[in-house]
Amino acid sequence: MKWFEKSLFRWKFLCFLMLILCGGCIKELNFELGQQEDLLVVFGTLSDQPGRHIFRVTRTNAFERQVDSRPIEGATLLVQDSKGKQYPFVALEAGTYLLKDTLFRAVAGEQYQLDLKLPNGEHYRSDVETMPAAVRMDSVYPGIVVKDFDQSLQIFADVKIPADPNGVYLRWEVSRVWRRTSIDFATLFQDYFRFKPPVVCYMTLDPEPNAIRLFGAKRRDAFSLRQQEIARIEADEKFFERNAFEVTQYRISSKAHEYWNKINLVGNPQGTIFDVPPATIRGNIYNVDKPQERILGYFELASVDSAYTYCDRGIFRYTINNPCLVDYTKPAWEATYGYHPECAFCVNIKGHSTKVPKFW
Amino acid sequence: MKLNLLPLLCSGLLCLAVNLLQAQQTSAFDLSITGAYQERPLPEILSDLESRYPVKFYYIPERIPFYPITIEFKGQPFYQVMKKLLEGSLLTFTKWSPNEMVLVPEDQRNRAFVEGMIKKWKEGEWQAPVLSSIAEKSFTFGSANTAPTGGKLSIKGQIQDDESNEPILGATVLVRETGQGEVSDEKGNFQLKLAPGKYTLQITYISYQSQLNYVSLYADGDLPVRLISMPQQLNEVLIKAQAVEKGAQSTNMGIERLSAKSLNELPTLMGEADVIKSLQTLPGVTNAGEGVAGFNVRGGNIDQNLVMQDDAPLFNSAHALGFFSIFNADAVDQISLYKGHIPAQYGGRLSSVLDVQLKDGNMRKWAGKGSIGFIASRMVLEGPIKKDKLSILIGGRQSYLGPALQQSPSITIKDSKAAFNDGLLKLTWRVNAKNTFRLMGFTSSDDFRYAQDFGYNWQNYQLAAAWNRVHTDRFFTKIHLSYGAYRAEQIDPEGNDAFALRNGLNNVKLKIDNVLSVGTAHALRIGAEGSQYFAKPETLRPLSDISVFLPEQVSKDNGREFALYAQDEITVSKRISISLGSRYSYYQNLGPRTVWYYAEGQPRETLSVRDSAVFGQGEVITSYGGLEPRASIKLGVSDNTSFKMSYNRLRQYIHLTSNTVAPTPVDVWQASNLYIPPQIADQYSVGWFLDAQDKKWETSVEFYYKSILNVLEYKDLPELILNQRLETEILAGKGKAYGAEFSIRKTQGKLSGWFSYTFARSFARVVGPSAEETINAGRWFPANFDKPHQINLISRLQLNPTNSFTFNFTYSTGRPISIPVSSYRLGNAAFANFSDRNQFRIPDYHRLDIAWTVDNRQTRLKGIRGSFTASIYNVYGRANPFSIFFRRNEVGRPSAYQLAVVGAAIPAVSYNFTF
Repeated sequence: MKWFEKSLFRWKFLCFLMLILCGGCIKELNFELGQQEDLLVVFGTLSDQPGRHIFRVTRTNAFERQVDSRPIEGATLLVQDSKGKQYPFVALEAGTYLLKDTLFRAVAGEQYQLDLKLPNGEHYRSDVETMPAAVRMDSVYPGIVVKDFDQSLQIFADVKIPADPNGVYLRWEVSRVWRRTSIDFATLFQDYFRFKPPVVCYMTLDPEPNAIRLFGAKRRDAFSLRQQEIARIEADEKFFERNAFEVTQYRISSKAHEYWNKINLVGNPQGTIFDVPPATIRGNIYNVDKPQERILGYFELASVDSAYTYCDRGIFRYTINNPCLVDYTKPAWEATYGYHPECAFCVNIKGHSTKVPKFW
Repeated sequence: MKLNLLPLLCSGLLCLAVNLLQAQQTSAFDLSITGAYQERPLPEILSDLESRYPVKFYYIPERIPFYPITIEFKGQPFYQVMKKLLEGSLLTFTKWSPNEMVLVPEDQRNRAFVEGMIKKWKEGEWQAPVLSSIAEKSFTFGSANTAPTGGKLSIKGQIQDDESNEPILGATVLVRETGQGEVSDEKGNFQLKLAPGKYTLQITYISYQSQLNYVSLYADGDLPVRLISMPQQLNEVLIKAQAVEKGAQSTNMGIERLSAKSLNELPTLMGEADVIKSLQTLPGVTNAGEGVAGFNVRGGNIDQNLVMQDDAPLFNSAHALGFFSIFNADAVDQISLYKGHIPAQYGGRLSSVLDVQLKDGNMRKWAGKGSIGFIASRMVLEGPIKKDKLSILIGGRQSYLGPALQQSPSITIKDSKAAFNDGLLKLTWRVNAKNTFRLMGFTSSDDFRYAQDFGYNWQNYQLAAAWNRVHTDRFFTKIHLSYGAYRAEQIDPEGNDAFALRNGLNNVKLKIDNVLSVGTAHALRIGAEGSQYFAKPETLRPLSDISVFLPEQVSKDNGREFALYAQDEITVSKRISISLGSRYSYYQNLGPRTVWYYAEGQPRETLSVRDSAVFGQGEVITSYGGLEPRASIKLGVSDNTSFKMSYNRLRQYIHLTSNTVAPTPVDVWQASNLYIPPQIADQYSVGWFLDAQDKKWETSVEFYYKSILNVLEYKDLPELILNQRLETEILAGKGKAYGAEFSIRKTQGKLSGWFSYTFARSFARVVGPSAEETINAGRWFPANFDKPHQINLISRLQLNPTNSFTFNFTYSTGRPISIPVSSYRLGNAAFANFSDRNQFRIPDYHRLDIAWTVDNRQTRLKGIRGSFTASIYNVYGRANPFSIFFRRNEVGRPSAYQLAVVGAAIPAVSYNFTF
């Protein structure tokens, strides 16, 4: 447990004080940002699961731009284990490199090191990292938290933490899939010739793009981690139909946990008096010839476990409104018979997929 | 014809009018005066003459003698009357116009001065002294026949509160005839050298009835002065009291004094009179923003200020996280802030000493004071248990936010807590004229909780005993013993991370302070001080069945600090005085503790631990020590102008470890240890001080330079809580600070106040053996509280005896921050890469506050006298940014946000009462 994980609560606490004492405020500000700093960013996770082990090699970009980091092409990457065996990468696309051996599984207890050479001759290495043993989730399940009249869905995980003298550190990623069934005009208008059967779409999104959910405790004994909150999503109309959540758990090293913790802290500032002054966060990669060079990113080894959970609107205390009601006051919806175009035909939703997810 | 007669008629009428006017303007010198006066002061006689004869007198109100005159006239010429009235005084009289007489000292008898004087009378700035509020007494020392010829005589005395017998520090003794002045020291003592003759000694102090002592001085004499408190006269605010210490005549520099009685008149947040916030109106004193505990002096951290209440140290003086301070304004007697020259009797902190002295209980009668405000009320009750022997003072404050929260429609708010209170008890036992004992107990408590999510609570406890012993009239001893405790807890009551984290610090202090006057030229202060810090271990306990935490305890460093000091205040001549002193401090870091040893040449981190050693209870782990010389000199250029210089060395052995923008209640006080050496500061100051118009105007310029060794800095994003190897997160660097403080004060008149501009820079530099232990590549960078420009304007307009307005405008440069300079992606998420530490600044801070005080002295309701203060904090509703932070919104667009703790004008009303 890192104490600054509590920043969210601290933030609420200050809001509370501000509210009762003086009515403070937060507002967006036009602030001149600093000059761009051109730093190398290397990130990728090597896991115990076969498949696509993808690493990204990029450079930082101007903060105010929405574009991705600037990719570096022509880099040479390989991973080497403690026996000297090397696993090379191949370029997949600009700045993206794929471990050539797609059946590769990192072995628990084995040590790995990333080696990177850039086209300009600079040579980088990671610290030697050890692959942690797998820890499986017992269950993941939804819950509801109600504060006044605001309700949120929480995703919890229960995990049996094994005894380990090095401690157990976990990171979770949650992916939300929500469903939208298009309006069944055929039934509605009894017109089975003009209208096809309604299309069902599945949309995937990151419910908490700015959050990194972590667990780490100083205790080394075996215990049951229960009701570990791994996501919290405010109730919205996307919950009108069934939602599914894919939970990926990464068991990481204590150093990686510390790294992510700092990333979380700096990435989610609250602006309160309790904030830690932000700073550049160094990972575990360094320039072989210039150790002072600041490198961003992390070479992560993780044992991975996945689980799924689902929820319907019935789980909520307060009613989830139907987002797809007829509204004739909106002239733009005339073509869709008064329905929002995204309700009438879910294929209008950006990022939709009509393919049913395998875990649905 | 008519046309020709009209000018003639007009001319005739005009001539007639002029003649009539001239006839009425008979010269005062033609008057014959009749009257009899029995022991009346001169101003009263002059007023009587003005009322009965066509004559007007102009004089300097502060220089007019008040000694009693018994005289009788029967049709005597005006000229003779005036000669008799002014016989023996230093005044001469002269005719300004036929009916206007000017009474001035011989040395000021020039046209320019007299014109200015008359202008002030006509504009109402000068008025005849009101004698009804002035007590009068006569003293004769020796006999005129036996008076020595030539040379000077000494008159000394002690100024005390008439009811409590408390010595009064900072009272002004003015010799009206010569303009010579003196200020009473902390024992209430003063001493003057005067030629034999008759004098009027006017003794004044804020909120006390002024006193006139008519002294016939023909031999050395002792003059006991007992001033009578006038509790309603709150309007005679701090400004004079400050002026006394800041003026050109004082040896000291960089000292600010506030009278507690003035606190209620400054506009404050939510109407809560507050010691710490009031200090922030002074030059060189700032803080990080609203809602932040403590204060920063000349760019220093908040832990570099020694905060004491009745000489007992305090380790967190904040209520409500820092919105208010724990000092009860009604119980406070005197507030002194030493930020330039810090006398040798003080030590242990680098930037300043805040000495808050509490009142003694009233020895003569029961009395009380209090205030009812928006969010809290406070009250102080004092009185004799045994008259003139034993008194008690009880004070308390209670917030009432709780019931207000219950009215909220929000269940979350209803389920929250926000409460603070404090209590105070002080006993004063005057055993006899030479021995006084004081016992003070103080407690404060804060409890804040946000529903079932999060909470803080913290408490202060103080118990202090003091024995004041007057050996002779030249030798005093004060022995102080205190025990203090600070406890803080952070809780998370629910979920699998439910926990309670506690820490604290106990402190014992013993101090023996001796003051010895040697002749008239030396005031020696010699003493010894010892403090011990018992750090409570940080303890963690789980608070729910499913909590993942196990009970945990991390011991913290204990320390013991000794100091010997000596200081001599040397009066070389009227214009030259020197303060020379030194303090030797010695510190021991004590067990029980496990000390870790790290591999040479490697970064200090857990992985580089090579060995460890366990030290038992009380075992000395390491020690530090050294001399702390202090010196100050005043060179008077003239009676009103002086040049001052000072040098201080200070050592600090205990440090507040905080990695947040502002301290939180659970931040840990860390005693110096093997890896955290004491911080050492050398401060050099020079200043030029000018008083003008009898101290009506005071101006000063002070320059300072401070260098600091072992300044405490942190690695990026340090982990400070429950860290048994804290030294792996802490870095020792160098610091430097320099600046200038310009100040101009108007101390008298209907409009008084001060304007100050401070230029202050503060930098740090950390060069370590590795990149992780080096900040900003080893370059100097602005310290966290570096605010180059600060402007304060405090003005007070006394419309009439009942109504006054106070305006407070403050401006300061925004504090330094680090901001994102580039972004990058890890997986799907985008993150910011930040600049080097403190390379940018948040926008500037400025605010205007106004307070209106209605103090109707005639109003009395069943013995209770009161005043209302209505104030508006942040009049123009500026949302001063407390911090700037950067986030990406849902679509990934980065934006800068500012948090303003106070974003609107905050009105408040408070009722202050006395009975």
